[in-house]
Amino acid sequence: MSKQTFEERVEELSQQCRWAVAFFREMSEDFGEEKALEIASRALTKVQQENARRTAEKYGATFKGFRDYMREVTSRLDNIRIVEEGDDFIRTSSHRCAAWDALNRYELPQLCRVYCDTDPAYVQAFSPKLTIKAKCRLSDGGPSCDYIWKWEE
Amino acid sequence: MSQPSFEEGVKKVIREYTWAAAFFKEMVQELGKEKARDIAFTALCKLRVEAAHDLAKRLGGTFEAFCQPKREAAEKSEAVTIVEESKNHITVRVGECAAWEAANRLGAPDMCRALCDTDPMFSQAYNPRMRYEAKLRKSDGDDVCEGTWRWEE
Repeated sequence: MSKQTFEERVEELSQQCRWAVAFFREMSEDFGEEKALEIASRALTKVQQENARRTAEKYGATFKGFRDYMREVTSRLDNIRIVEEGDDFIRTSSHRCAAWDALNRYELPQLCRVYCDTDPAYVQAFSPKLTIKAKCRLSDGGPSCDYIWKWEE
Repeated sequence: MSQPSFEEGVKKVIREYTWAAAFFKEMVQELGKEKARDIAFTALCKLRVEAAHDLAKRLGGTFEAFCQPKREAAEKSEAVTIVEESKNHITVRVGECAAWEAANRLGAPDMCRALCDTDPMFSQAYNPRMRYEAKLRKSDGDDVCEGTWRWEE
């Protein structure tokens, strides 16, 4: 698969969330932003869990499977890299995040925060043995998104 | 470049609808089917009116320019038929609809119904002289989608 540029990824994600963003705006208008964020959070959790299950199915729900997946992702995307790897952990860093940029295009950084908050649900759906710890996140005002993905036997 | 198959088209639409379908399903659960459809309809109306204005800008906003891509689609695909046509109307039947198929596979058929409901607004936004009336819709349980665009002088 050819390497996708960051801008192409942002454009793709912007298209993929366009309708959801429109639904979110209407919900916010009708029921207030808090309620809309609650609904968005549940929806995005399910999307992320489904993505994780598919990834686990393709690569295997093991640490090796997850590591292979991360290696594939970092070879395909130019904004994320593996900083450190051990027998049971991977540290990644993204100086830019496509979801953050895409949702900022819509002036909805709060929706990206909700999206980032679904990460624990993602890793749990991949395997209950996988955990994630955010050192910093762009959506929290950090300089990058730095994560430690750890496999706990 | 060869035409993408229907299945490829459906997969592309599924990628575009995944977030929206998840939001829609949560809205149904939280707010009820009717309110969810209202929200989706209002949101999609805004997007489609914008898209119609862009299309009119690109095509010049004439009826002839609007009909031409439909004739070309009918030439290329067995799934598209021009049922009848005159200077000021065109009736098109579509046997395969990627939007319907994708929404259905994502478990959000009502989201597609909300989309179909915006067709008249799309047509009027393209040009206030243009009207659209659906006769058959897959989203209403019909085997095909069939509708007529009329140009009022």
